[in-house]
Amino acid sequence: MEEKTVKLKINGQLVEAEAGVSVLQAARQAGIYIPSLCELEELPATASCRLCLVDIKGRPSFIPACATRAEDGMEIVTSSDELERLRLDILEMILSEHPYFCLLCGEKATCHDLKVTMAKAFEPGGCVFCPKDGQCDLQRVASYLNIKKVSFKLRERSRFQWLKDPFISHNPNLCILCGRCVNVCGEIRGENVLTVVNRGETTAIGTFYNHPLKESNCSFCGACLDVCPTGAMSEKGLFADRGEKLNSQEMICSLCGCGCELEIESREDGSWRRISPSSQDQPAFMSGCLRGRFGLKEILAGNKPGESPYLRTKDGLEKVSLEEALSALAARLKEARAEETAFVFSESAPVEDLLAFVSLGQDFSQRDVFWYYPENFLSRLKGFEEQNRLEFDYSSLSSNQWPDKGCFFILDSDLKSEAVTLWLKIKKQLRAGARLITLDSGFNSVEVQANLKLKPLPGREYLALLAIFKLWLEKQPGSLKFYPGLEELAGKLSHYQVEELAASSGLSVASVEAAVNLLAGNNHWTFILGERFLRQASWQENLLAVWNLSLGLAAQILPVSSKINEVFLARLATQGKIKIMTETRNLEDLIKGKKIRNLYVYGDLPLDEKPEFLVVHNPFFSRLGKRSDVFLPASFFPEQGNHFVDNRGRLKKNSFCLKNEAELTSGRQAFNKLREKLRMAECPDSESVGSDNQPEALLVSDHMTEFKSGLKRYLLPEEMVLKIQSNLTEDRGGLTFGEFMVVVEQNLDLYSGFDFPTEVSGYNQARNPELVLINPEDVGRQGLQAGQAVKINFAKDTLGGIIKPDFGIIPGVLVIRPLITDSFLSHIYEQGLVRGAVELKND
Amino acid sequence: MKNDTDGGRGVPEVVESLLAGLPPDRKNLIFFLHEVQRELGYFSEEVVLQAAHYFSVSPAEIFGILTFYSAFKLNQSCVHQIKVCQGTACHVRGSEAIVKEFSRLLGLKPGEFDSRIGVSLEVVNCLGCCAIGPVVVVDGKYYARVNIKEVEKIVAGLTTGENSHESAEV
Ligand code: SF4
Ligand code: SF4
Ligand code: SF4
Ligand code: FES
Ligand code: FES
Repeated sequence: MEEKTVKLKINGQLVEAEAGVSVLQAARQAGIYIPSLCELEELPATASCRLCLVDIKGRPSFIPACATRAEDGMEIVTSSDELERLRLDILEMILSEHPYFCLLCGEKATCHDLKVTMAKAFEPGGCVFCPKDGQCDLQRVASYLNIKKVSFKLRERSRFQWLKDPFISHNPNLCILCGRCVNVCGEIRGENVLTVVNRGETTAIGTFYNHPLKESNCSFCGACLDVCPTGAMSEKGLFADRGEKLNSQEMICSLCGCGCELEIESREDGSWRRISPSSQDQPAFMSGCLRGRFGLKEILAGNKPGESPYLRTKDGLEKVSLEEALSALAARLKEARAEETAFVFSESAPVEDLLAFVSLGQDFSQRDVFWYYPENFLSRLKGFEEQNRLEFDYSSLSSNQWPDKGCFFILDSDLKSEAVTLWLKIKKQLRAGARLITLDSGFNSVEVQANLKLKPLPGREYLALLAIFKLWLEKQPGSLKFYPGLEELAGKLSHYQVEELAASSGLSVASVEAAVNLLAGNNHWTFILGERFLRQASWQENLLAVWNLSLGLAAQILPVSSKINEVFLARLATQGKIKIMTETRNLEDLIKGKKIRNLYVYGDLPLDEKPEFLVVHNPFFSRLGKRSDVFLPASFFPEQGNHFVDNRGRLKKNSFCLKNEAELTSGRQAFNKLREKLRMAECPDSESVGSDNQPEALLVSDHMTEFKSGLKRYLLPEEMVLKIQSNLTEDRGGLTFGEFMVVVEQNLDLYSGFDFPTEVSGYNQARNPELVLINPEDVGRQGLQAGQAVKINFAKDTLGGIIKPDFGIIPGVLVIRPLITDSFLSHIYEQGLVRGAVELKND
Repeated sequence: MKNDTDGGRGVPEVVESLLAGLPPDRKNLIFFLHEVQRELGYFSEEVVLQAAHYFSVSPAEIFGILTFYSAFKLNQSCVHQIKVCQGTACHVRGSEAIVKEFSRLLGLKPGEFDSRIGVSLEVVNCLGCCAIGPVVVVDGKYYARVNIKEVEKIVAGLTTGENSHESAEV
């Protein structure tokens, strides 16, 4: 886009501003303060507070600066006697409903010591308890306007506070109804949990039927806390800082692939005050989630056990020194036969430590080191390309810039929970007019925002895409990009009717048509692939269908990897440097057959079968750790400077250091000590990896485009034709009564063996992994009820769950998001789509 | 009595039949909400969820709309709605006595509803048809120039179903 500026005069001062900004923003950028309470950059203007009224030459009346676009040649007066009087009136009106003692009380300076005014200021309005005191926008505006009195009698609203939710509380008596929270929740985050209820005197912020947030599908992203100008929305248990000295440090969250920047605020005594998303180039509410902001705080505040190494003796696990633990481990490894020893890791450690672990394992056993990667996502994608000698266009992954105007087609990805920052960027584009199509056979929390939502049957995604392609061929073949193979493809597809393809995919012809119209009518498409799209038996067909469509549309592909370092490790796997393990049954068979006697797990692994000798090396004293023979504590990411690779392949440096080096042993240090004991050479490159002078060594943004000989041609191999044939003749999977297709979703709430819902208080209210989503129709048909405990019986095992009706799930489908804690779950997760029968629990 | 059973159809079916001819465009939402109010008399959570899904609007937003307009009821108990105009013109023509008579007959104060008999009594401001005052609106049906005697008839009609919504055309 062309950079354009406008020139205007504010209070006689010449101001230059970017075209398109509001008068309020232009003034702000020029350092001119205009009082405002409802406006916030990035949020759509509601102009509800009326404080920012300004005088613009040539306009008959005062107008709100926040809702007025700055134009060339405007002459604006932001402050005059009349304007200030008006503002004072408005403020007085606001304050007639908002306790104002904190603004006017003469005893404020000593209040904290004496706490006498508390009584006068009738709690909860009293500033002593207001969580925002000192940081409140209302206070700022009041002091600018130098308010001395409020002529109206305070109308005490006496509303109940919201206290039922974890992490967030709301005090409606402090609310000035600016609407920011409603806006941020709906427009920015796309959650639409909050709304304005009632009208007139009883107007308030509310939720669906005024249920607590935890029952209103609130994601507890905390964005409403970031925007509230007053203390009305506040973090539970957080009070005003009262001039305390606070330390603030930044770090990279590596709890998921987004790698958000977080700001950690701690008090002088070292206790944690608050964690909030922070970033140079965007407001806090544009990133972050419940895990990073509330969950991490609790882990850091002391929920992290496993500080000590442990060694199994005949009396069980005993705390030992690191030296003792490593010696015991070295002794065992010295005797061990290399081929009976396996090295497995999960992705959560810093990249330099992961690399060090890989070379330790390879040097020791001369065999492959395994990465436990149940998604098998990016690696499948890459393998598919190589096998078919084709190459998707990944430019939106590798470039840091998003296309200015783009449209998005999301396939089987609940983006909000798998890569929330990506979703926030897309949502921003949607506000600017981008189009969105979702195609999802499971649960998708962003599909309500879509211009078109397609709900195919699970496993039949590719048929839906083929139906779209086929109809397109029929309607406007000329608009498809021409490449070799088109005629052949058209020929093969000519055996099928759009109707039958659509019907067997579970879509109506009307929605297939709508999809064609949207796709053909807009340019710059990006296909966003979720890991679920590739975690089902028909994943190859899915990819082929996407390939053809993306070729015809010249669309880009953006695979959404949800875990930190996933992009980096997938690259290592593609290069053959590590091996991928997608589920643990094979390993367990080897353990049972005594083929594997020693197992070194760096991170976490869902394992039921215990090998003879188990080493667990993990920041948390995890479930697996408690069954180990040697447990080594690894450093947790906020504890030590290090590097991570985010879901777009960017290397991120975490310079934050919670503890000093002496107290901690990084993975590398531990591995080197072990090497010494085993008389192995020091780990190569261990210090230079990721060091400042050669971060390129790890720059992997180009990882997906390495394969440079891809052909551009349409494809429909014979196997796929056969598969279509069989799917067309088969009915919808032939489910019997009580039986469902179970879609197994990604759940990121298990991090390196630390499970948030169990370990962090309040977390399971916010996100209960036991919820089983099911269409309300099925709930009725099967005689179930919301909130009921059920058993889901799979071919071999059983899983417990709690029924939650959701209209977003199609009948016959059941969606679960288990924490993958044992090998049975790793098995059904890896399969992605399984059959299960629901049965009531009788206990 | 009015449609609590609606000819044996369950609530989801009623909602479905109302949605049937309606494109899932949010500009049809308010119309649909009025239809639900007319057909079912109130909004249960399930109905709102069903509508939210259909129109791709958040349930919270619909709830906001429902609580904003007094035309929508969230409570099942009040099946019959009696509104007596207390605007200036109707007042001058004696609407106060009418309100009192309703109160006496129903045992209800203005602003109350009786969940047992399923009737609510409300006093409202000018309905914009002063010429035919005093005006009483029962379940959407307008009664013009109401006198005390007619009040009894109206109340009797409530129990016989005479005032059911089918005849209520505004
Ligand atoms: S925490 Fe997030 S989802 Fe929940 S109400 Fe606040 S903004 Fe909305
Ligand atoms: S809770 Fe806060 S952000 Fe929301 S409307 Fe009230 S004052 Fe504004
Ligand atoms: S979105 Fe991911 S990286 Fe960001 S705060 Fe949440 S868990 Fe951390
Ligand atoms: S900031 Fe402009 S009206 Fe509130
Ligand atoms: S006063 Fe009753 S209709 Fe106007």
